[in-house]
Amino acid sequence: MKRRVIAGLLVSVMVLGAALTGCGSKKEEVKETGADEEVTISFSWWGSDDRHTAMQEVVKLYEAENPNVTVEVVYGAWDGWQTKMLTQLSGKTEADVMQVNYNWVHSFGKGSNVFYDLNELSDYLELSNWDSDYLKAMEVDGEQAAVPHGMNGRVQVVNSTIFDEAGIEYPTTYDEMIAAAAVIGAGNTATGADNKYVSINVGKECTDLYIAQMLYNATGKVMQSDGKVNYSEKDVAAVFDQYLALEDAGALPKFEQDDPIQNESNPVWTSGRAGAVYEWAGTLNKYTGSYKGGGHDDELVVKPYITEDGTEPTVYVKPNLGYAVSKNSKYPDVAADFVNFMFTNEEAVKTLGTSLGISSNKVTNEIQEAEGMITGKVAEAYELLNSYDQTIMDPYFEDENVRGTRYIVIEGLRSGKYNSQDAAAKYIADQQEELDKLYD
Amino acid sequence: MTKEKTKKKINYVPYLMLLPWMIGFVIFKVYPIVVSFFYSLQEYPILGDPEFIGLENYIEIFTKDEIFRTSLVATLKYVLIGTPVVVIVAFFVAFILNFKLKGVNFFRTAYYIPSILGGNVAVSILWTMLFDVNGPINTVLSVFTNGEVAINWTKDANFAIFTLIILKAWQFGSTMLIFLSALQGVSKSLYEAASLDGASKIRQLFSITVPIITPVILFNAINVLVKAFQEFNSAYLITKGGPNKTTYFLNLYIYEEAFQKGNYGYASALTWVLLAIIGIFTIIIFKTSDNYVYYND
Repeated sequence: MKRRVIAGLLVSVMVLGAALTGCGSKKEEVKETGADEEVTISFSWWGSDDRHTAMQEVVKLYEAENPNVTVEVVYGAWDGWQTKMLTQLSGKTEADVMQVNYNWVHSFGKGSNVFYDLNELSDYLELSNWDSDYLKAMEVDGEQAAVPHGMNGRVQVVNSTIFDEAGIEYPTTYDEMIAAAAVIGAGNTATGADNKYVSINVGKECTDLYIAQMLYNATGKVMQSDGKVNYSEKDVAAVFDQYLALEDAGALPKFEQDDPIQNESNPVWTSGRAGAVYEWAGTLNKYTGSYKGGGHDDELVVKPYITEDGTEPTVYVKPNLGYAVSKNSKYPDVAADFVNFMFTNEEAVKTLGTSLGISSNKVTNEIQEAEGMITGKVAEAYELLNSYDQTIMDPYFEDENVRGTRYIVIEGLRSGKYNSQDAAAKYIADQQEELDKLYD
Repeated sequence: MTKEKTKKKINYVPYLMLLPWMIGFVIFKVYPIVVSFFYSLQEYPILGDPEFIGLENYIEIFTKDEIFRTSLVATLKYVLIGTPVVVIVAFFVAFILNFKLKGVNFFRTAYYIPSILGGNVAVSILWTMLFDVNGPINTVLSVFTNGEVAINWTKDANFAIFTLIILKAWQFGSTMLIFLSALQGVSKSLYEAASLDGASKIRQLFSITVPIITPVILFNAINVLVKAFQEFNSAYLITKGGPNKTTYFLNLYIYEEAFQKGNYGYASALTWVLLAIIGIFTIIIFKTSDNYVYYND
C-alpha cells in the first residue's frame, strides 16, 4: 500500500513536472479578434522614468480607442532586463508585445527567429512604413522578428566648459586629444578624486564600442562579416597601443582610475570633470540630464568624431530598439495593432516625443518633424550621424558570447594583464571561436 | 490455537501533513536537480532545441575552458581563505560576548545585524564606497603610512578578492550565534576545576573550550564552506567578477552562462561540477574529522 502511494505520488509529480516544462505550442493561423471580444494583452519595455511615463500614457490612449482591450504593462530599468526577457521567453511567460534590443533578435535564437513573424501580421501592422533596409536589420532566417523604432549610433557629448576654461579647442585627432590632456589633466594624480579627462568611456560596452570605432577608423574595415573577424593582429595591436597612449597621457581614465559608478550618474561626468562622454544618440538625454557641472545651458554640445587625421569616419549604427510580438500570444492581431498604433497615432507619437529617439518609421518621423520634436541635443546627434557614411552593425557584433570575449581582452589590456600583442591575438582568436559556434 | 492475524492500521495524518512540503520539495528541488543533470549532457540553447552530446560539456570544462579554471581558482581562494577567517572571527567574538559584560545583549544584537543584511544592493554600495581608492578605509590606513596608501581595493587583481572576503567576515553573525550557544553549554565546573589546578584563561580556552565545542566548529566550518562555494551576490554587485575574473566565482559564471548567454546545457554541467567539488570537500572534512573532533558520548 505504502509503495503504491509513493509510486502514485512520484508519477503525479512527473506528470506535473512535464507540464511545467511546457510543450512547444504550434503556431496557428492568425484569427481576427472580434471588436466586442474582451481582450487583455501585455506589453513590456525597459527604460528610464521619462519612457515609463510616456509609455503608460500611450497605453491609456490605445485603451480609450479600443475599449474592449486592456493592456497590462511590465517595465523596469535596463539592468537585468535581458536576463528577465530570456527567462520569460524560455518559460513562455513573455508579454504579448515586447520592446527588444537589436542583438536579442539574432542572438536569442542563435540564427532562428524566436518571435512572431510580423510578415504574417502585415494586415495589422503597416510594414511599408519602414525602409526595407531598416526592416532587414531585424529580419532573422527570412522572418520579420521585430520592427525597429529608429537607428542609433554613438556620439561624443561634449562639456565645452572644460575646454573653454582650459583655453583650448575640442580636439579632432588623437594627437590633439593627447595634447589637450596635458592641459586639462595637468593636475591629475594616479587615482585622484578630482582628476579631469578629455573624455570618458562609461562601462565595458562603451569602451568596447570606442575601440571598435578606432579600429574602423584605422583600417576602414568592419569588425566582422559573415562570421569572420576582419582584422589582423597587427591592426588590433596598433589600435590597442593607441588607446593605451590616450590613457597614459590622461586623455582617457586608466583602468584603475575608472569610477565604480558605470552609468550616467558617473561622478566624473556629472561634476563636469570629463570633457566628453561617448553615448548612444538616442539616449544621450540621460547624460545631459544627469550633468550637474553646469554654468550655462548650452555648455553641452555634440561634436564630430575624433579620428587619426580629423577626417570624417564611417560610423557604426544599429536599430536602437524594436518591437516584437510573442509567438505565444493569444491575440497576435491585437498585439500587432497596438504596435502599429504606437507608430502611427498622432497623439501616441506626440506623447512618446523623443524619449525613444528619432524614429525611422516614416509616419512617426513625419509627425515628429511636423510637431517640431526633433530639436535639442538628440536632434544634433542624429544630424551628425546622418552626415557620416553609416554601416549597420553585424547581427552578432553585440552577441553576449562574442562581445564577452572582447570585454575580457580589453579589461586584461587596460589592467596590464596582457600586452597589446597578446591582447590582439586573443581578441581575434576568441571572437572567432565564438563566431564559429554561431555559424556552425 | 488459531493464528490471529493482526493488521496494523496505518496512520495517514502525518503523511498528509508532510505532503505539501514533499510536493514542493520534489517539484522545486528534486526535479530541477535531476533535470539539470540531463541538461548537462545536452547542447541546450535557452530558446532552442536541446541536442544530446554526452559528456562533451564536461570534457570542454576540464580540457578547454580557461574561464572555468580562472573561476575555480577564484572560488577556491575565496573559500579557503574566507572560511577559516569567518569561523575564527565568529568564534573570537562569541568567546568575548560569552563573558558577563555590561551591555552584552546590545553587542550580540549589533554583531548579528550585518548577517541579516546579506549581500544586498545597499551593502554593495556601502562596500564600494568604503573601499573606494579615495574612500574611508584608505584614509584610515594612510594615517599609518604617511598618506601613501592608495590601494585600489576593487580594481587591483591582488586585493579585489580580499574586499569580498572582508565582507563575508563582517557577516559572521549567524555563525557567532551558534558558537555562543555552544559556549554557554560548556559546564562551568570544568573551568573551576582547571582554575584550581592553576590553568590560565588561555590554557582553559585551548584545553577545555575548543575541544568541547569541536562538533560545533565542524558544523560551522562546513556550513560556511558550502555557502562560500555558492557565493554570488557580493561578486555580482561589487566587483562584477573582475578585475580580470579574479572574483569571478563559479556561481557567477553559471549564472552568466545560463541567463545572459543562454547556454543552459553548459551551465548545468558547470553546476554539477560545482556540486561535485563541494561534495569532495565536505567528504574530506567529514572523513578527517575523527582526528580532531571530540564527541562527548
